[in-house]
Amino acid sequence: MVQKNFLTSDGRQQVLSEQKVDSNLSIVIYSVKEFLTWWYIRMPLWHLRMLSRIAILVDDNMSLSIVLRNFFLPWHRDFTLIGYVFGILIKTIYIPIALTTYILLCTLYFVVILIWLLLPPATLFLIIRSIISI
Amino acid sequence: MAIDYGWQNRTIIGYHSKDSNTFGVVGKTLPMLTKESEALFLVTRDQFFTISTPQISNVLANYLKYKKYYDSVRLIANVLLVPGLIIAFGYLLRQIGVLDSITIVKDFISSGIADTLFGFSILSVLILWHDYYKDKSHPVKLPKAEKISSNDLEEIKSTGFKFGRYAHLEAINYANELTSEIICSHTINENLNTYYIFRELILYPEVQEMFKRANITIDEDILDKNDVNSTTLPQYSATSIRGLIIYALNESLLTLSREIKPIHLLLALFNVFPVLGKVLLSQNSSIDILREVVRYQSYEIDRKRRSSPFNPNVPYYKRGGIAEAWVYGYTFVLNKFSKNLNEEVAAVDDIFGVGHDDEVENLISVLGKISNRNALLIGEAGVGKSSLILGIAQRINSGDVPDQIKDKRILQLDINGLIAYSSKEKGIEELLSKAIAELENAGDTILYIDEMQELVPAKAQDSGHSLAGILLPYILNSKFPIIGTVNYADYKKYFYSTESLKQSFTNIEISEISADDALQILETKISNLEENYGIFITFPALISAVELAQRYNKEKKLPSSAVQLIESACSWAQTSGVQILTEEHVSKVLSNQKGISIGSVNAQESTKLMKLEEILKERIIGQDDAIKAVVEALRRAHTDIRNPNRPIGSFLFMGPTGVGKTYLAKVVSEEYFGEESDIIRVDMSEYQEINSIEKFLGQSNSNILGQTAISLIDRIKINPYTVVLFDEIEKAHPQILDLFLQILDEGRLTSTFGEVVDFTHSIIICTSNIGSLMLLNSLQDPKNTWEESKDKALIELRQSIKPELLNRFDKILVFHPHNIDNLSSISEILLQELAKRLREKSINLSWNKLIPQLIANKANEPGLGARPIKRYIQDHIEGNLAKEIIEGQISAGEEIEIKEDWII
Repeated sequence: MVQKNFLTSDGRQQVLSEQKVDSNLSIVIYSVKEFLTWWYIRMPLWHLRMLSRIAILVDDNMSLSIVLRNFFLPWHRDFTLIGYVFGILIKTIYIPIALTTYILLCTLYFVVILIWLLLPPATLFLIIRSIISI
Repeated sequence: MAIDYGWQNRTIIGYHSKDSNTFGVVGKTLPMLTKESEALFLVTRDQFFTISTPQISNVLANYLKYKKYYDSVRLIANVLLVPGLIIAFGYLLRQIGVLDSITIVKDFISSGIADTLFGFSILSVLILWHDYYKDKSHPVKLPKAEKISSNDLEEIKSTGFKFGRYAHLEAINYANELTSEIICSHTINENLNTYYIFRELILYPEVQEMFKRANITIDEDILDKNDVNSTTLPQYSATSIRGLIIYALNESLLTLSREIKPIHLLLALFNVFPVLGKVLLSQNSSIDILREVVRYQSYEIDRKRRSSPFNPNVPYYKRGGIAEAWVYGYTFVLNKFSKNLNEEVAAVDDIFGVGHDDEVENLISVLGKISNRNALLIGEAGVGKSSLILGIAQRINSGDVPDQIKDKRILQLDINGLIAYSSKEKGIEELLSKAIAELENAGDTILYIDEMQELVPAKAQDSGHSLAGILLPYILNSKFPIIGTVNYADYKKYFYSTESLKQSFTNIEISEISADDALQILETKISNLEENYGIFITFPALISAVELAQRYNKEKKLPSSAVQLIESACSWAQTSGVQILTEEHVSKVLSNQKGISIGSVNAQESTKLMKLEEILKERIIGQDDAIKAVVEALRRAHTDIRNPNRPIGSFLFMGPTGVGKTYLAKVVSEEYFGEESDIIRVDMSEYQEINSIEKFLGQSNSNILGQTAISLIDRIKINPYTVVLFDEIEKAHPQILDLFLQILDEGRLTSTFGEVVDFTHSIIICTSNIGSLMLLNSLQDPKNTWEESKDKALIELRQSIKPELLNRFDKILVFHPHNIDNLSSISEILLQELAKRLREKSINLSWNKLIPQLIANKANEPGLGARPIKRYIQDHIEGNLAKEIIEGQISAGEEIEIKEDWII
């Protein structure tokens, strides 16, 4: 099956992002840039996704949003006075505990992210300070 | 039906030639293009992938340079870790005061040098961390190659590739490090060495696992035998790497992988080089089987990744937690005679509902409606109705459902449990009423009733009402969704006639899944089966299970028939001590179950089939044409060349009485199907009235339990591997003969009860006496030649039986009336049989060579064939022998000769 090329009018083969063979200096610069991009852009985004995943996991396992959404629904849908009172009572005790756990875990991970961001400059700072002190 | 592996129409590989300015599609032969002016590209439904010469050579050169650099950095980082660890330990010791006595060490640990070294080692940790995780945290991901629609294919065919409509991607980006490593290491002096790539790849553990799974062996002997060497897998210039990458990319797309791995390079080599294709062929394998194995391996990897909720690269579906149950009502009573399917599927590591994607979506949309949320799944047993429900439960568990049915649970009603519970406790009606009230209050439950027709005969002990009657008002006004399953026959019997019931349910038909989906289901069961039975299951065994189940177990549907067959095979393998289950084992198990020979023709059977014509000619005299036609049909059947959707062979034997029509059918049954097989003989003179059709198809209006008469359908169901002989078909009622149209064309017949009976493993032989007189005339009247008489007989046949029926027979064979020589030979055969029977009593019978001729002359009654000979021998020879035995004139161990005066 022979067909015409619709990509370019003169039928030239598309030459894609032609790379050249990098010099040693380019390689070093690239690897530093790549490290910094990974550490300060890609990984923080990954951490935020992970933070979001942890938030979802905790909420899912503790059924926090379900309980909040159905706060006024009686206990096990027992539509009597006892059902309503018991339901609200249990949820009133449960929600703060679940919420605290939720906020604690999310905050902990947030701290992890902060540590992550500070680690390279802190390391460099340690090295420079210790070199000066020699 | 061969399995469609699903490769078609997902990718197109094209080429472009700059010299001639043409684009084309690469066919079956995959070229290794070495000219720079020629290039390959790959098109999927939404993307096109290319790779250019400067790109590939620069990429590979850069890869090597970068690799060297990163290796050095890694080495330095690892070296710097050591002092860091020591210093960290020193810090610890200093803190707890252990170093106070060792001043030198303490001073060093407190010095700037130690701090600097420690700082550098932390930096090394960061570098190594980045090195290890950079690909894991952001893995390369190939897009999924969906099927290209036929409209698009037509467009490409007629107007060419419109590259602008596809997203452009660079193929080389999807090669993982190992793949790049292999290509670089075997590209020396601008030459790509395919032979050494192949030799390296076959030693990889993943590849070894693939070979084992595909049940093929690649070792030195096999390679030598098939001439796999550096001549048949030659060197190419480095420009050919582009082609290899594109072909490997194609393999990774087809096997649903995320990146181009070394195993895909190997698949590409198998696809490109005919010599490697022959290696597979010599072991009854193919590239499709290898792809299926690699696809399975990708699926297993993905399955393990999916099971980790802490991986943000895979979707997470909410399952509901500890407090979820608080917002839903209790179902104390219902729990006693029901089971929670959500809990059941969560406890097993299996996938349900495969092959029924449309039906699952349909069911979910019915369940998600505001009103009339009841669904009735209609389908034959074994098609996967229950699996579909479990699939829904699985999707609810993983949260992959619309909001309306999120957080719902499916409770399966246990009818027998309900009856048992009610007999101990309260009455059924009271129990059901309480259960329904709980269901309405619960707010989160879908009621599932399997085999809904069982509700009809099940009765409440106290009131005598049927369960169906008690449940009906609740079904008609249900405030919660109900799913039921039923088969076609019972749907017609119980639901179709009840309008209100029919209106309460949305019917969803569940048809048999395809062979490809059945194979996928079997793949999901591999790990479970291997663990339970302690064996290794090869893919050819799975493929064989699906194909053989489809062919030989037609009364059951896929996937149930294939699953049962593979489980039987695994069980057999376990007890027989077989470690690796292959297709031969599966064929053997099914052969044992069915009592027939299944599988490739072995040497013994080949000899038997080759000699069959000879054997039949020795036993049946004067009908060589008929014997030849029948034997050819049997050979075709046994080597699987025939159409599997028709009977093995269908013949109409015409001829006068006593010429061997019925006898040939019996001898064929004995020789082909084995001595134990009983021929099914149907005298069509019993079917002259239309109401005798019930003898064929089963009685429609009698109670099944009280039915004693066995119809033809029943006899075929008991033994489908036989000769079915319909004697004197011209005597049957024409409407009954119409049933033959379906038998002969499609190899099946539907009974009164809607069961489909399979005739595709039977030989159908019909006999007719039409034209007998004309055929006899050829013997008696010298003016009528055999050919003329035969033609007249065939004309009479066409006038008596519909042409559409005659047209469906494989062969219409006219049997010759016997002449004296034939009758003489028949006499000899009958005397041999008599002698054999006497030998069992240790009496030897002999005769001179004139005796058979004498018998033939004496007993011959023109027009009556061989039967008078038989009667004559019975009366005159056997009669006299019996007299002499009784009188004591012959005793065991003696020899007796047939006297001429017994005959004259």
